[in-house]
Amino acid sequence: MSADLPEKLESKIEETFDVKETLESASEETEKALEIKYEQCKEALSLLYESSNETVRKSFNDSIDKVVAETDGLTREQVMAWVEIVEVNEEKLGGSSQAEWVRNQLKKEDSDDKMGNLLEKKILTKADVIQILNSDEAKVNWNKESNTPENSARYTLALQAGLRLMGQDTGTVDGLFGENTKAAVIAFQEAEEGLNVDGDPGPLTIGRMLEILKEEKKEISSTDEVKPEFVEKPEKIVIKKMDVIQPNIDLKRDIDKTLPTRINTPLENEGTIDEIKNNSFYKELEKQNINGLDMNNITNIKQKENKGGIEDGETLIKVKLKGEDNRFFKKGEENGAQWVETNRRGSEGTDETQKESETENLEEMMPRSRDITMLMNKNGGGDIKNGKTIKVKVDDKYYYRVYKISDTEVRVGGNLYTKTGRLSPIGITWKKAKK
Amino acid sequence: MVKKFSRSQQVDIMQKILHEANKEYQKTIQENESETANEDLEKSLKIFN
Repeated sequence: MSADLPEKLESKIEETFDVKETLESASEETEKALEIKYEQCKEALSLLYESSNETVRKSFNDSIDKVVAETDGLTREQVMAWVEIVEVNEEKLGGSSQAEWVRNQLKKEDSDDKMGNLLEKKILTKADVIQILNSDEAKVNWNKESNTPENSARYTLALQAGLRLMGQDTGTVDGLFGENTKAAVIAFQEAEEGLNVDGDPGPLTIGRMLEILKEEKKEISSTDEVKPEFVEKPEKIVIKKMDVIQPNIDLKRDIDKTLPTRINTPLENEGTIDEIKNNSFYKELEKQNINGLDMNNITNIKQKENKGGIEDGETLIKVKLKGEDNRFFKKGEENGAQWVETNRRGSEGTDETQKESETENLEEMMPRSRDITMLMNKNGGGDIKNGKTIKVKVDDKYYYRVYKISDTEVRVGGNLYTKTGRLSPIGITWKKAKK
Repeated sequence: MVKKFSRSQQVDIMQKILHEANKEYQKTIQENESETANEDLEKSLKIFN
């Protein structure tokens, strides 16, 4: 028997705890929490897809191929539809006389369009689809004999992309209204009440599609089984930002940290300037323009308890400054009250008592070690930030204090955690270190 | 035939892709490091290893 078996077993047992906790946690998640997670994943994936770093893009494409191959009934198109991107197969457009017609039609239609040439972009976002389906092109007449649009190939692309975003199988997204597209229209009409099931995407059908596409929370899924012909990895993708959901700035920064295209220099204190500028107290102080207070020097602002001579109803804040002593400001509760500097320090006493107080809090909030599967910032996730003591989220309910020892080690309560390097949509995960 | 994935399954799949992407990325930059001395990659490794 291998000498390190006990350690391996311990590790396996820990993994089962992780799995169990993940399952328990998933079952307890509210629909809202799931939606938030879904949006985070969606944004994270679209950021990888649009990354300017070729290695990151390749990693994304390789990983999506791998997961698709390992997951029964999953296609790349399906995943891309969740991310609200539909890839257009340019190669297929040039292969026949019909395709040549589409190509020429697209060049003509897109020449003056703000969205640029679809052949150049190679992808359609949900916003693109809505824009095109909402335009006058929706009044296009269909030639039922040839099953092709008489007026617009671009509109057909948007129609196909829209159907795919709603989980219908259109075969390829190639701008040609063929049997697959018609079948997808019929499937959509059958699934929706009050529509004629004739495969003709008239105003009522398009109107219903637009209603659904514009609903943010409508659950969408994609087709599978029939593999679209352009399932091969596109060699060159012109990246386009998603218009529908603006990338969350914090998330973008965190993803950049996770798959770095640049190295961020940590600040010496708690939080970054950008974060502090979002602090409501910071905004108020900035607005008031207090003489002698260098806003650019502020590294953190915290509200303190009203002890030590601060009246009830007043608000007391502690302003941490880089290279200067902390300063304290108080404000009354009446409308229009201004911040006034005070030498009262609220609940904060000497350094010694402060330390004791923090230790007490730490004890009170100390979690069980196996409760912690992921360390996360209080304000939106990502890798935990540099600083002596920060609060992190370890599950959906509680915040705990974490001491960051180094870039790869943090301490929570009495337990040491090390960085695993595993990526999640909210950052790198941390695991309890073995004793 | 249309196979639908529940929201929870969609999230699981997307998380798996993110996880795999990170793994692939780490693998690639490690391979690249042995061939070329890329300062950024070296810094990245220091942080993420």
